[in-house]
Amino acid sequence: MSKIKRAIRRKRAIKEIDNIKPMSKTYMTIVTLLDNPLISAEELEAELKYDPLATAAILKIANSPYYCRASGQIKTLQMALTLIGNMQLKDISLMKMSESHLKKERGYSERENELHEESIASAVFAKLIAQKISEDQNLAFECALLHDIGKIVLGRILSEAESEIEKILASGKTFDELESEYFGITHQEVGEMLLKKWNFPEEFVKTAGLHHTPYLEPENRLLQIVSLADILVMLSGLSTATDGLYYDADDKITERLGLSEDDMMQIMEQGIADFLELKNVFGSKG
Amino acid sequence: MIQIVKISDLKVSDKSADAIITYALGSCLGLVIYDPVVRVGGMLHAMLPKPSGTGKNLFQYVDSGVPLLFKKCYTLGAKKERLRIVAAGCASLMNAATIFEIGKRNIAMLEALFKKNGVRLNASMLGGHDSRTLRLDLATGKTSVRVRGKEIEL
Repeated sequence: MSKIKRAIRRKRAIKEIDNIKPMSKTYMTIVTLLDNPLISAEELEAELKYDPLATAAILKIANSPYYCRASGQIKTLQMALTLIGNMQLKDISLMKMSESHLKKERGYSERENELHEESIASAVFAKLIAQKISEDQNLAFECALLHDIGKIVLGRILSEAESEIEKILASGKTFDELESEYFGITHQEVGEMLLKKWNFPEEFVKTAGLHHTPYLEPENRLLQIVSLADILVMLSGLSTATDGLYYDADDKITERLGLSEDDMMQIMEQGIADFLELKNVFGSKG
Repeated sequence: MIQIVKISDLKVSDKSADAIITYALGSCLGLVIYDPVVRVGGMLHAMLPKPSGTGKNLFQYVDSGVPLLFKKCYTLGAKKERLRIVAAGCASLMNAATIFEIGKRNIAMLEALFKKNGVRLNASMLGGHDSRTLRLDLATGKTSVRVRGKEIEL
């Protein structure tokens, strides 16, 4: 493939980043507020006063069986803060914040909402892995939720590559090698740029940028968690996307995290059950 | 009507107007059986070879899901000797360590089960790195796989 064509496509992909609309300001503010463990319900309510839909949306997810066994019990933000806590509410707000962006992806997948569902599944799996090895569960959930965000940009131009895709994959290349060869840029790199542009913390930027190459930072446990969650989601069969299972699976990743084969099977079993509970509140199909 | 088989799920039907579909078989096994005489068929989407933990959902595993698929179709009038059996899925990641080779373990479990019971696959599309969608049309027994927008009959 000619270097010039690749350079042009890379330039175009980077330009596409500017065409992605910013994430909702209301949710962005809420996510920042919820980072403070001493946040009061009054402060939250003051912020959400002019956005009753956002409050309703947050409470709806808080009442899903994933967060609350007695569904319908959480009627106010005060109750939500008391019963499920600020960090879980932050996870929920981040899910609402990224929902419309992730749902719009068309290119990697012909099915509606697929990237959104995969992202939620990755988040749920990452939380279970973090729980198992006593790492920060909420941070793992949040970074995994946004690790593939670069696909919303590359997806916009991926359909043009249809005939090339078959050819490149048949030659035994991984999908990130395909992205590099065709676009001169990968969805990891684009995700990194996008999250940097939106001022996300360093952990988010790094996990998005390195999730298919976790061996580059073997000491970074959060990166290993998100990368393993991504692998388990691909294996679980939640995606009909073009990139399928065309990725390398780092053979040392479970060793680095001290996980056995049985641990992984249990995480997959529990992860699928958790994902199905959470997915229903978003009204996804299938 | 289109019946959707979710992950760790199973559907059977004797209605000619039905189609049974499962989306996105990663390393999971998709198994279709169909009796053309009574037009009874079913599909299983099993995730793992056998339970490792508590394993409450029997459809989640090849070792418990496959016998249930056959039994449910027998209940609707299907006969073992007339069945057409098709398997798809069990893909794997590239350069994956043994620990991630769930697809291969699913195939091994299916083969062991079939050998023990004297059953043979009529067609299959197993392994590789594609995530596949599997479909069965009850009226004709046509079984097909969809990958990257292309449909292939099995």
